Amino acid sequence: MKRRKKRGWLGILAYGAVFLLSVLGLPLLLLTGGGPREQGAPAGTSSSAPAGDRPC
Amino acid sequence: MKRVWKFFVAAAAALAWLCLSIWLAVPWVRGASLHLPAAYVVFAVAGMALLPAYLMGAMFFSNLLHQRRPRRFSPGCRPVDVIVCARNEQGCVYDTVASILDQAYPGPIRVICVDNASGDGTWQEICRARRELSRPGRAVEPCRCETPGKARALNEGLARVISRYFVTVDADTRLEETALAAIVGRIAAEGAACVAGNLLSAPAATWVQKMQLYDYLLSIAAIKRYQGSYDCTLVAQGAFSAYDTDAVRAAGGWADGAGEDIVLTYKLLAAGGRSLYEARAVGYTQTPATLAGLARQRARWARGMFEGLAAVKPWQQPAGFAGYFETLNISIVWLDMAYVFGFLPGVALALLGMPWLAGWLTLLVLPLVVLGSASVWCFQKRLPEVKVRDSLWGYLLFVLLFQTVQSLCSLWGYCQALTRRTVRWKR
Repeated sequence: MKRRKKRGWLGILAYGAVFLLSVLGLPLLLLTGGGPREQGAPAGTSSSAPAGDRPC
Repeated sequence: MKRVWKFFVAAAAALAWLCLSIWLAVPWVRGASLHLPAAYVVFAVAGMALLPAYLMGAMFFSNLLHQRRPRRFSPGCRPVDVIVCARNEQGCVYDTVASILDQAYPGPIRVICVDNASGDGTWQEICRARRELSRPGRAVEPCRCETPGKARALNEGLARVISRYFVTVDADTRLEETALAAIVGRIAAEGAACVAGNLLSAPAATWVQKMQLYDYLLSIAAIKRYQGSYDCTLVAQGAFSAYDTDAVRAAGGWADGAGEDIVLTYKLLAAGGRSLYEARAVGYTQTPATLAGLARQRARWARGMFEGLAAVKPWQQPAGFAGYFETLNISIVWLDMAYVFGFLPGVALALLGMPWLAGWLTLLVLPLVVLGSASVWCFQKRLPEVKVRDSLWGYLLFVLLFQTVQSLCSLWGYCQALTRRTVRWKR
């Protein structure tokens, strides 16, 4: 019986990992500066605007 | 390839797709965060793009690995009881009973027809069915359940079941002529606790029904085939499913609520039973004809999911696959919230000239939707039992509008579940 219960946990862990990757993957990439490089972005967009000069 | 390996191959392919999606979403999120709170953008993008990328990908790849046409199982001359519960169904209950008794089924069939406190002529129609349709090997047993509630009516029917396996059919559902043989043959051959049939929409009259035609044919069927490939179909729907009589009695029958069939399936899985899906057992059900009717139905289904989760927690499931699919179901709440509070405002903003959360690039998702639909459509159309008349308008409405209706109604259902509003089967 104990062994049978553990398998449900395995399913939770498996999907929990995917869920966390989906939700935390983006912020992590943003913080580490990952993602595709933007080529020739116009002035005032995310890749060229200085931190204190972002359009609101 | 073994079942477990197929699952992991599909999940690995979907994970790769998810990682690519995350990487591609970075400039999108960075750009949108210039105008909107970053936490909101991450919540919206994760729920409307990233989680769906994994979920749809895993289902798509898994179903591709299970694309072979399933073989038919023979039930032999095994007797079978069929429970039909009817509440205010005088217009269709006779024809439903007739369609069951006319099945190409080699063994005896007994229809246990339960009138659930109807206020119209349902009881008279059931009695007429017994008089006119009963013959050797085909019997109709009318009975009454005076307390309204589908679970109570089903339990009344269950008390009269004497066959090893039984089938439930809704009073507004017609079976394809070999459906009973296919579903009973499958459950008897595999020794499962329950088998869900391939439930499709009856011919559609209104635009709301045309839209649902494809929800049943493509979405619901694909999800059931995906879960059923791993013996964990989470809902053996009461409208057309087969059950092991002893297993259902041991689980205590149906519990009162919005999702009595969901709760029962979860309990059967928790008891170590297997829940399968039989694509060749085809039934056609009447779908809601109006938007209000559809909204009520989908809100009830959403509530049913919570009832299932409350009855059996994912960690109480003995099978890893059941725990996985049950946990996955919880994240659907996030998807619905992200769709309603992220995607829909995003489209509104785009129409006002602010394409921050949705834009022209969003339309690139459409070819993927069509590809996914086509793979399921091809599988269904290869089955000789599936006879659905296609509707281009229905498909367009399904692709462009259905998710909005579904997510809004589901959120309403989640709110009902949280506020514990009482459930009414039918007015």
